Amino acid sequence: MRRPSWLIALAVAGVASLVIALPVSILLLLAGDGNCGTGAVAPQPSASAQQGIPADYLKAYMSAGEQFGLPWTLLAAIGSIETDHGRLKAPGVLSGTNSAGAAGPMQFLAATFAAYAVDGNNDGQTSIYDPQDAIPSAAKYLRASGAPGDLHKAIFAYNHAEWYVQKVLANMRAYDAAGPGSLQAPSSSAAGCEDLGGLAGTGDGTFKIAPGANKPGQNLTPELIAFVRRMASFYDGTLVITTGTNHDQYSLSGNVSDHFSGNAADFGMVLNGGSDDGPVGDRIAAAAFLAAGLPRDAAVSRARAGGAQTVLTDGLRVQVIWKSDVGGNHHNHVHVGIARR
Amino acid sequence: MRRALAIGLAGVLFLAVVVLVTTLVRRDGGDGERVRAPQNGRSPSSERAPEAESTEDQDLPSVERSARAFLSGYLPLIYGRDGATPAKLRDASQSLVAELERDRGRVPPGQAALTPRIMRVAVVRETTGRALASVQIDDRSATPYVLNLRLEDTLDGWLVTRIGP
Repeated sequence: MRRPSWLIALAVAGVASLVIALPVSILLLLAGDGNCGTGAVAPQPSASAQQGIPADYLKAYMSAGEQFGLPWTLLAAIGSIETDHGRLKAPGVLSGTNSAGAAGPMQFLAATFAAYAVDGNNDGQTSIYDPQDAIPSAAKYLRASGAPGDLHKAIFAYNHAEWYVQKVLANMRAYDAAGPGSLQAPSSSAAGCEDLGGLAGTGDGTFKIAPGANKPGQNLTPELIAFVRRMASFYDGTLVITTGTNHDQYSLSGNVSDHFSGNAADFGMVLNGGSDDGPVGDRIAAAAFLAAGLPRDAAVSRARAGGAQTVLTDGLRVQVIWKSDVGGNHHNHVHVGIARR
Repeated sequence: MRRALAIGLAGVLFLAVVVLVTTLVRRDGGDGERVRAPQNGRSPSSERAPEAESTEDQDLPSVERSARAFLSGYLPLIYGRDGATPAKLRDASQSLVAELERDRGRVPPGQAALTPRIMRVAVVRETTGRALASVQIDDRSATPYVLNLRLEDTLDGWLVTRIGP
C-alpha cells in the first residue's frame, strides 16, 4: 500500500521537532531557579552587619572575600564567633595564646597560620594578631579547605564541631542583606541545596479565609491564626484557608475534630492554585513544617514524602496531613491542625 | 508536494510549541499529575482530622525529653563551662560520647563568654525508631542558630546518636 507523501512528511517533521525541542526543554529543566544557598560571593551587608561589625573589620572581610572568591559573610561569621571581631578581652586575642593555643582575631593555631599566612597590608610582615593579615589568611585556609563549594566541610575544618558549622551558617545569613532573617540556616553545599522554590521566607504573613470556610459564629482560634500567619511568612504567595470550622464535629475515633474547635485549617488545591498531590501542596506543607520549627531540608523532604505527620514544638502538637488517604482524602488539600499539649 | 511540506512544517511548529509549553508550565509550579474533579477548594465531607495520628507519634514526648536531657549536658560542653565533659552527657549513645571524647572541637573565647538559651525544641519522627529534634538556641550573639539532633529508640530508651546537619 502506498502511503501519502504528506503523511511521511508529517512524521519526519514530528521527529525533527522532538530532536530540536527536547534538548531545549531538558536544559530548561536542569537550569533550576538558581536561588538556593549562600552562592553570592559579594552579598550586601545587612543592617545587623553594619551595626555589629566595626568598619575596619567589615572592610577587611569584604576585601579578603573578594580576593579569595568567598562570601565575606563567611569570614565575618567566623570572626564574630571567635572573638567578636577582635573586641573580646580575653587571653590570646590581642596577645599571647589561649588555653587551646589559638591566637588573634581569627583564632589561628601558630602552625596553621604559618602555613597559610597572607601579608594583607603589604607591610612585609605577617602578624597573627593583625586583622589585615589574619582575615585574608583565614580566607586562604577556608578556600583550601573546600569553600565556597563545600561550606560545611570548610567550616568544619576550621573547628571540628557541628554546632560551630550551624552557628557560622546562621550568622552568614544574618549578615547578608538578601537573607530573609530566617532562623533556617542556608544550605551548606550544592548537594544540600534542595528547595521546592517559593519558600524563600519573604512572605508577608498574610492569608485569606475563603467564604464558607467557617461556620457562622465559629471562628478559628487566635493560636491557629498565629500559626497560619507564621506559615505564610515562609510562603511566597497568598495562602487560602478553604475549610476551617465548617467541618464535622467528630473524628472517626470519636474525638472532637481540631476543625470543629477552630484549631485546624485545610488548604484546598483549587483555591490555592494547585492540583492533587502537586507542588503547590508540597510548598504549603513545607511552610507548615517550617512554621513548626523544622529545618529547611527536613521540611522540604517531609512535605514531598507526604503522609500524616506530627511535630511537637513550643508546647504544641502540630499535625500535617498531605498526599494521604489516612483520615480521609488528603490529596486535594493540605490539613494543618494544632493542639496545646 | 508543496502541501506536504506545509503540513510538515506546521507539525514541527505544533510539536515544538507543545513540548516547550509543557516544560515551562512544569517549571512554573504546574503539574502533570492526576487531577481530580474540582471541588471548589473545599474538603470532601469524609475528611477527618486528628484521628490520623500514628501510634508511633505518641512516643514523641519521650523523644523531646531525651533531647532536652542531652542538651542539659551538651550546651555547657560547647560553651566551655567548667566540669562539663562528654562522659557526663545524658541520653547520648556510647558511640557519640566516644566521638566527642576523641574530638569535640575548640570552644572559641567568644563563645565561652555567652550564655545559651533553648528557644524551641521541635521533634518529628523520621522513620520507625528514628527521630529528629531541631533545637533553636539563642546566646544573644549575632543571631539564634539551629542544631539538629538525631535520636534512635534503643533498649535504653531514646538516645542522641548524631549531631547535625
